[in-house]
Amino acid sequence: MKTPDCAREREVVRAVMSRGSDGLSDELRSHADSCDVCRDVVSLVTALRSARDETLGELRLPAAGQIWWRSALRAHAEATETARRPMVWLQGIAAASGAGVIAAILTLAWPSIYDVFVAVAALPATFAPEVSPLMEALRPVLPLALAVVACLVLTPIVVYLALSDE
Amino acid sequence: MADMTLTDVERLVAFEQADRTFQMDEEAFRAFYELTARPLWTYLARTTGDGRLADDLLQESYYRLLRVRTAFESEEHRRHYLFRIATNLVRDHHRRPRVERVEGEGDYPAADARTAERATARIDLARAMEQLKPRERSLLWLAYAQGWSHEEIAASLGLKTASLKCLLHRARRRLLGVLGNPRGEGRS
Repeated sequence: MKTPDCAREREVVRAVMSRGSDGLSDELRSHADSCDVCRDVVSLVTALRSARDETLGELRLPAAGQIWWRSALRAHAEATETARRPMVWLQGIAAASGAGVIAAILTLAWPSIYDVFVAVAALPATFAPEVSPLMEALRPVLPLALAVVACLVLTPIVVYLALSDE
Repeated sequence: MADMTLTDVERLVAFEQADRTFQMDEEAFRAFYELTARPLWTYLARTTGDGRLADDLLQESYYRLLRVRTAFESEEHRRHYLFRIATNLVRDHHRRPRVERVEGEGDYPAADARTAERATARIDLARAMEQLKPRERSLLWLAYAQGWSHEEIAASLGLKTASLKCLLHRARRRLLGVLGNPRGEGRS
């Protein structure tokens, strides 16, 4: 089905917008009264134009400078965030690499470290024999205990470095 | 300068960079804004039915236009692009899960009705527009409230000019049908 169309629709729209429906020439009014398309157009342009004029009359727009200012601040904030993102990634990669290197060193040097632990654990038996049974009981968990102590000491330092501005 | 906080310094940097960041300088923007802000706001208000949302979308539309790197052939081309951004924002808004709002809250400012008949007519039109699809509202507003040509509307809404006549006809019939029957029954 062919869409109803009128070659004078645009002319009618312009006429109603500039002069209102009462300002149409007799000839144009006669055409609009007899044309289904233009009759609808006159009704709609009158209603919508009236609504538009009322809205414009009540409108309080922000100033151009305010729009510009907000846009500038937002663009700057977004640019800063974009620039910061690679640094966050690099810091994460560096921390993970450092943890990996430390773990590798500990693994390679573990036999020597364990001998030191044993020697340290044996010291109380030398100077205070009464604690020897206690030290024997703690020996299996000594590496874990030392690791927990190291984390408790290092964690505040790492958090401080991560959250500091520099 | 010693009295300024870091935030103030950042603001100055932001303003200084704005002319380089944006696709137009402040003076050109002000002139463009004066020409387009009112029609754009009324378009947003009428197609969303929410004045406060129109305020937000107005800011967003201009921000996106300032950030775009498209070379515009003319001011008309820039204007059409702005309305296209606005139309896409309205469409995205309608696609989001809707929160039921209190009727009247955020509506574009109600005029002191000079006559009860004008107030009633305006409410009828607003309610009728709400029953239309977002694209139908856009088509009708641009064609019959702002008087744009089919080519201008097609450029702004990203439609083909050939299909615009049919779409506009359907939207026209639909609105007239709703205005004639506020409960939404009858012709479409």
